[in-house]
Formats: sequence, C-alpha cells, structure tokens
Amino acid sequence: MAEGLQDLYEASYRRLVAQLAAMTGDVAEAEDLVQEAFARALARWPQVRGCDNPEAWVRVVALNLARSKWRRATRGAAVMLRLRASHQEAPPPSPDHVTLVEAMRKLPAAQREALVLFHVADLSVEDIARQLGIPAGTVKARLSRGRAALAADLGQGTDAIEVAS
Amino acid sequence: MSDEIGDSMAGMGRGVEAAVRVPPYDVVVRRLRRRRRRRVGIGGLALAAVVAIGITVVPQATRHPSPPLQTAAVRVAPPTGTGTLSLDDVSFLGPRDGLVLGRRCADVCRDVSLSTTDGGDHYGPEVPMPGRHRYVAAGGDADVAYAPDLAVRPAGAAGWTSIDVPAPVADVAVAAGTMTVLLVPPGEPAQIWTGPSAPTTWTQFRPYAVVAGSDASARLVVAGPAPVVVSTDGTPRIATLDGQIQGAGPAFVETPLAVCGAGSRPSVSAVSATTWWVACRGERTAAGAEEVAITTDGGGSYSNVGTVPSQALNLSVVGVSPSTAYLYGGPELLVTHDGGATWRTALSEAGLGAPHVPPGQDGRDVWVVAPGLTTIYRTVGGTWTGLRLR
Repeated sequence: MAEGLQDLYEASYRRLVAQLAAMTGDVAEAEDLVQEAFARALARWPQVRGCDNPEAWVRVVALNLARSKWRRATRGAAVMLRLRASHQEAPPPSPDHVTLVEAMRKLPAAQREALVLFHVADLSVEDIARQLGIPAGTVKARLSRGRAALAADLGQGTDAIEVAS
Repeated sequence: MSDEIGDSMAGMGRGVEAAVRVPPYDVVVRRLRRRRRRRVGIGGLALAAVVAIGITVVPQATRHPSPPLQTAAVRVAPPTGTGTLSLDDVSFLGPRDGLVLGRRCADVCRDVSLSTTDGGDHYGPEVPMPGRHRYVAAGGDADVAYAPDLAVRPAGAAGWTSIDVPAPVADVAVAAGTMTVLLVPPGEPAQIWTGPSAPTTWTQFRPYAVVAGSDASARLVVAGPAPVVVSTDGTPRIATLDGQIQGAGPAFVETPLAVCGAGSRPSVSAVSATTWWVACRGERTAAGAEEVAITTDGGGSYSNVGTVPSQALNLSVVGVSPSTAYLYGGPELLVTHDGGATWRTALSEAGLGAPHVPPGQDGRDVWVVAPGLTTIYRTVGGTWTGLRLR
C-alpha cells in the first residue's frame, strides 16, 4: 500500500528533523512534527508518491504543522494572559541551546524559515520559492534581512549573500 | 554560503542530523492508526449527539490541502494527451535529439514513447509501445526499448516492433550497427547475443557468449570494442572480452573485483576502454559511506576515491569522464568533478534514475527522470530546470 514510503522515511527522517529543529529550536518537537507529517503522507501516499518530490511534500507539511502549532501556542498564550491577568515569563532556553538557536528564535518565522531551507536544507532560492509559493525575490529579501538580523545579534559583520540556483 | 552564519547553520543542521536516531517505521503507522481512531471516536460522539437530538447530517472527510510544490519554476510542455504521463527513461541520439519512454494513464494505461529534436522544448506525438519497457537506448540506426522484453524502432520508422526473446533482457548496448544484448534466463548463466541493431526478428541474432555464474543483476558495460559484464553472484567480479567481437564462443577474462567486498553488487560505468567507475553497491566503508573506485588501466588496478557524503546504500555510478561522475539511487543525485575527491549534491530529488548525458556536450548537459513521476530534470552548466510533461 505504501511502497516506497518506508525508504523515503529511512532516507530523509534525520535530515528533515535537523531542518525542523533549526526552525523550531527543539529537536523533540521537530521529531514530533516530522513523524506527524509522515503519518499524513502515509494516509495519502498514492497522491504524495505522484508528486515530483515526496520529501519536499513531507517537509512542507511539517513546516505547516509547525506554523499551526505556533499560532495555537500564541492564541493559547493570549487566552492565558487574559485569564490570569498577569504576564508569565517564558522559561529560559535550556543550557544546551546554542547562541545561534537563541538568535534564530528572535527572528520572524518567515525569515527563519527561509534561512533554514537555504542553509540547512541546502535548497536553492528557486526551490524555496516554489515550495513556499512565494516569489524568488521575496525569498532573497527574507534571507538578506534574516542574515543581517542574525549578524547584528551575534556581533558579526554582514556579507553579500551568495545565492546559488 | 561562504559566510560564517551560513556555515554555522549548516553545521548545526549536520550536528542534529548526526545525533538523531531514526525510530522504527512502525511509529508512523501507529501514529496514523491513532489519528484514525481519534477521528472515528470524535465522529462517533458527534453521531451519537446527532441521533440524540434527531438531526441527520452527512459527515465530511477531513481535508488537508496539498502544499504548493508545482509552480512557475516548472515548465510545462505542450499537452499531448489526456490523463497523466509518468516517465520511465530518457536517452539521446544527438545533442538535441532525445527519446523519452513513459506510460500515459487515463481510464486505462498505455505505454508510449516521445521524441524531441529541439533539446526538449517540444515533443512529437506519442507513439504506442508494444508493452512496458524500463529503459530506452537511442542507437545510430535504431532505437531500442528493453527490460524485460525487447522492442526496436529502425531509424525513420513510425512505430516500434516487438522482438520475441528467449529470456528476459537485462541490458542492451547499441553501437556501430551492432546490438549487443544481455539475456538473463532464470536459474541459468547469463548469455550475450549479438545482431544487427535494426532487426526484424530475433532469428537475426545469434548467441555470442555465456557468462558463467552471472545472475539476474548482471549488467553489460561496453568499454571500447569489447563488452564488460559485471557478475554479482556472491563474489563480485568483472568479465571482459579479450579482443574484438567475432564468431561464437569468445573467451571471457574474469577478474575478481577486489575493490568491492563479497556480497556487494557493483555498478560499473565505462567512460573509455580503460577507464571505468565502480560503485560497490550495498557495501559501506568504515566511515559509513559507499565505496567508490576508479580504474584507468582496464581493470588491472583500482583506486578508491574520496568520501561520498551520503548514508544511502545501493548508489549506482554513471561516469562522464575520468574526472566527472554521478551517483544516483539515493535521496539525491551526487556529482564529482575532481575524480571523486569531493562529491556534492547536484539535485535534491529522491528516486531519480540514471542521469543521461547527450553526446557531444562534454558532460555539461545532463538529463534525468525519476521513474514513475512526471518531470524531466535537465541541467546545462549547473542550473537545473524541471520540465513537466502533461
């Protein structure tokens, strides 16, 4: 029924988790998202298999799940704030979170997503644009702004971005 | 990606990737079952509530829109039929003359071939095939579709002719008016037959040699005037013909493929009579990568090349020159331009078949399809374009 999905799972699981972990800053959450995305791929494998790039399908589903989770968390936080009428500080990042991850977390989600797909998933600007459904110019702008923000936060200078097709 | 931030992020990704353990695939199946049980549970509660208050509703399936994967970057060829065209293989007669093998499915499926004469921008009408074939080879005076059966289209002919073969065809090489065919009878040694490249019947072929001990995964590799057969029955070895093809019963010179371990299933690609690339499929080095080697003296000696940046097994090799080769069969297409010292990802697409290099292009122009999917990927000078045939 799902011929080929197990091969895809075994070949791409670690890579996808690494990409989602860079996006969310949490490996356990990334694993949860990737497993859920694969479960959804299994549910409609005949259609997913027909895609040009099933791995990209799983990655986009996992990214969408991450966004939904973030929105729910944001809404939930707002409700909690209204109910408690007091602000609770988010727990500090655990000690093993590297500086880069902390800096990444401060970025807007769109810029973080573009940076992760470009630098961690090693996709081209055109591939990112295709997968996110946005113009390539927008991807370049997000990459440029994200890198500038990261460089400022990490105390580095900025270089001109090299975009390989 | 030469800056520190990019390098740091890539390093962070590699670090996480190395540390993550892949849970058994069952976790996905169990997860799907849980989701379905949950949905049934919620649906059951809803139905109970509806029955309780006496209202009838028609439950609707949960819908998950597919992510936008196919957009403007993929060029679409002119429509040539109804239904979906999935691809099997591609081959070339000249720099701009290509031949594509595929299957179009609407209500029923039919096997077809398409030709292009303008480098792939446009295709001629679909030509019916006499059965399904996995591979296609474009020869000087005929095109050949093969595995497991054999079909030939002589140059200038409109349609394909099926040729009855006495055993499954594993491989075909066409050159200089001669077609060399590797037959793999179940449970028997492989046989090489030869004949004119545009035959009308199998009787025009004749048995040429028997490859003792070869099994169904043997492949025919043409290196110069003599074919090379890779035998994989337990101990990998290479069988080379000593001299020109002539008469019946030439002797093979068999040499162990010592660079590959016992039990591996080597993939060999010849770029000249003396230079062959070898990928020891199914065998890992101590570093966890697949072994890749090259010989420049016709198999007299082999030298291992650099580390392949992939954990995938069963990668096959296609050599373009002594310096350039591709590895396919894993989650991405890998390429080296420095004799194997370094490998990089050429195309991040899973399930790609063998890359094809049109003649006369010095390896700059490369085409590849993912069997069963709909897109031809093509690169000229490193920029890949997806061409989706409809």
